[in-house]
Amino acid sequence: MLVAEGRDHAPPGPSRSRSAGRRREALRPAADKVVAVAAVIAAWQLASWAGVIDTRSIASPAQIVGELVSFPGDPAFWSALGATLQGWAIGLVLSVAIALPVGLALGSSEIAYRSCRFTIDFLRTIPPVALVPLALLIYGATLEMKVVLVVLGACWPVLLQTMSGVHQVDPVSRETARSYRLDRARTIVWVVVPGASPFIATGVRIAATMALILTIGSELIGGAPGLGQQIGLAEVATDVSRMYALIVVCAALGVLVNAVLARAEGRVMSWHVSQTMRTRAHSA
Amino acid sequence: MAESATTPAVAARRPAEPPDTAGERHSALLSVQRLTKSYPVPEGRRTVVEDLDLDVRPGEIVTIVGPSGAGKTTLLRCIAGLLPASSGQVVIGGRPVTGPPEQLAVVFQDYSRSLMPWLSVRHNVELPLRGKNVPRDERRRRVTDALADVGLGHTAEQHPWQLSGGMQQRVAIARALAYRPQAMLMDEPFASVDAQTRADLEDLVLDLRQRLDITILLVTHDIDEAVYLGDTVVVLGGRPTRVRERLTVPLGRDRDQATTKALPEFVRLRTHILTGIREGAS
Amino acid sequence: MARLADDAHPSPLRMIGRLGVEAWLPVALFVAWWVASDSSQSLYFPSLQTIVEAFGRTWLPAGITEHVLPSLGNLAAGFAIASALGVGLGLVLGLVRRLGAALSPILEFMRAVPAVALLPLGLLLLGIGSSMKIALIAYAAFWPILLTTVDGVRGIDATVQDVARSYRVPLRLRLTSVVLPGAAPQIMTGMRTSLSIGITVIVFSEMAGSTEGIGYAILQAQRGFRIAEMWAGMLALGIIGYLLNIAFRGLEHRVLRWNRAMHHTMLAARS
Repeated sequence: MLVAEGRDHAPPGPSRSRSAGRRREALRPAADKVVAVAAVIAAWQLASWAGVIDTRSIASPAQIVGELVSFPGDPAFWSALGATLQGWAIGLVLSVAIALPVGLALGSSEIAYRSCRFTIDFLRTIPPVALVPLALLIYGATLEMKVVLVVLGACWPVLLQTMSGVHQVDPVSRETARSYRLDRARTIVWVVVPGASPFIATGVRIAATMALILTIGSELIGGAPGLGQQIGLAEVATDVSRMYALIVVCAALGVLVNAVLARAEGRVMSWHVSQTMRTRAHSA
Repeated sequence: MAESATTPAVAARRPAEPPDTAGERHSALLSVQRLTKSYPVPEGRRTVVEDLDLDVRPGEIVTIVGPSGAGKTTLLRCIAGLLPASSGQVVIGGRPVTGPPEQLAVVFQDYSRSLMPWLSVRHNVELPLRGKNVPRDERRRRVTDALADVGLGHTAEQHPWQLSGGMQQRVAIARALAYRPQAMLMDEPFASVDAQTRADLEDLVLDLRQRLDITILLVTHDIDEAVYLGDTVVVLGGRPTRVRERLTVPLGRDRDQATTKALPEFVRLRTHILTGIREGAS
Repeated sequence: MARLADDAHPSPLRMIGRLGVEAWLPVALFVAWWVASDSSQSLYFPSLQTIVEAFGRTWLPAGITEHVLPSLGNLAAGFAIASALGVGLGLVLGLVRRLGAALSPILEFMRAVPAVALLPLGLLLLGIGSSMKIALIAYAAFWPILLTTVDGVRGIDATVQDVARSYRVPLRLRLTSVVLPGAAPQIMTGMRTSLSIGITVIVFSEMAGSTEGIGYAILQAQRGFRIAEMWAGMLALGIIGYLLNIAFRGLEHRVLRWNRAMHHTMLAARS
């Protein structure tokens, strides 16, 4: 409906709302969200009290909050969180450091791209968890084990996104670079990477989320120190509240990582768009 | 819910009243009565269309012309039942419009988006008929007829995006024809095609009217098009938009791009409308 | 059309050429691995020859019925549940915008819960067995499908929706002929993500709590220090994953034929 409206006459902005004024329009979704979240938590809590949900296997929100509140004073929690974040960060940085140059190289050559397609497709379908036994044999339950697994999983999105990003870099800007006799390294730094940056940013965001899941997963089955290991320990001790509270922390980390990187991605995108527009305006 | 045979339909070839008969309200097929549409804005309400009256008689082509931003599309969407009126009403076949009425078929401006790219031309035209529970054989026949009527008999199995813009808009017209509405609403239907295609499509509309005797309400910002196609031209203007003028076009039913547009009567009308719109704008 | 057909059926000579470009590296890697590891004494990296022998011994054909079929069965069940629920609920949340917007924080949070972290919970609630694995796969695979379906439905062109409304297309027909096909490209993207998540989760759950399946076989081999068999298991997993991806791509190809052809036509028109 918006589009048809906007076509020839479009009474500005507000015509698009159906009923309420602009300000109320803006607030309504936020209010809706608060109500929805509150309703779900309240229903969960009520069901726990009423005994519909067995609190021995599914903790109630009150139990979880009670446990969460204890975390700031719990050194075991902090060291686990630190270990998880460390594994995640090192793994992610290494993934990008490896996959980005490879992606740039493979993306710039059609033959290289085609040659590697099958190999990449094959390797990336092997779930990193499958390598946990091997990694455990070689490294034991250590940070290295986590990092290796994270890199094996998280480098693929960066690699693939970089390759497709390079693939679609505006041929005009490449031609321009060539006509100014820019050498290969400079062309990559000044033309190819900026042109592919939105794709790379998306790849990094996907990789970051994946790296977090892999870190926690390898801690859980590999037994390396971290939040995943804590979850496993809580399970063994049948400390249900603690287990759920830790899962909530993991999910919150996931949301946070995704939100931060989505924001960064948005920045790169808007920079990219405005930059492209400027180039277009200049060349027009 | 199959249509009863008594429903007057486009292809029923009813005898048309001569367009210049004085229109009484009860003879109108579609009538817009004191229609007002306003939107809420932070400072209160902003009225786009105010107190607008309009009648369309059976067999007539009424064109609505007005400057860009005059709320033409809003008006058409109210008539089509896609937007609720703020006050006043639209009456079709004696009943006020509350939602999209089954007697109307709409041809949208943006043909590239009004056709579903995942359906073939045939299925695009057929989709509304399946919704109406028209029996299968009847559906097939209507689709074939409608596509033949717009000169696209050979494209049924293709997809819309394989056709040119003009052909896509013909498919949209065929979809409206196959629906057998009592009146067709067209929202700037030829605004996105090139000049030659536009002329062809205008002649297609006139030709369809001659052969099938359809009733059309067409919105355009092109004065030439409004005069060339219309039996009645409704000129909109002002803020909020009202009917500025209602003109009968005494050009008869046989019209031709070259000769009709050169007739003194045509030239007089378009100059008159243009002057009116210019004055309104200043 | 002719151009499209050309693209789909190139001449045999060009096919061979293309195949050559795609195949030389995998072949070269295989040969290099074979030669380099031929005299390997390393405990963890046995020679490729022993791996291949172990592969034949453990996976062909005994392993297929014993481990592969249970894994695939659970994966299929979990994936089917996730798809049905994800698409169904996604349609509702996409069409009833206000509800979708209100629930979005909860959905985003639930999606961020790493499925692997729920394994202990699954073990607690459902114990070791197929239902636990299916539930876990369904949970993990559900979110990408749900969220992409919502996006896909919301992204359907407003004009298309107007057409459906003004021609009074009834809800059921609108869902099958307008909304689902319109959202299909996004839904397929979500399903592809979910498939690889599903493969990860099945292996993971088999390693952590199971007595059958590929993941279990790999872990057992490692625990028994049968290193060549462990490598063979990983190789089997790679092959299965690749074949599943190809199968899915075939499905996508069929479902989105119009979409691809449309892009081809548009690109051709532009150039």
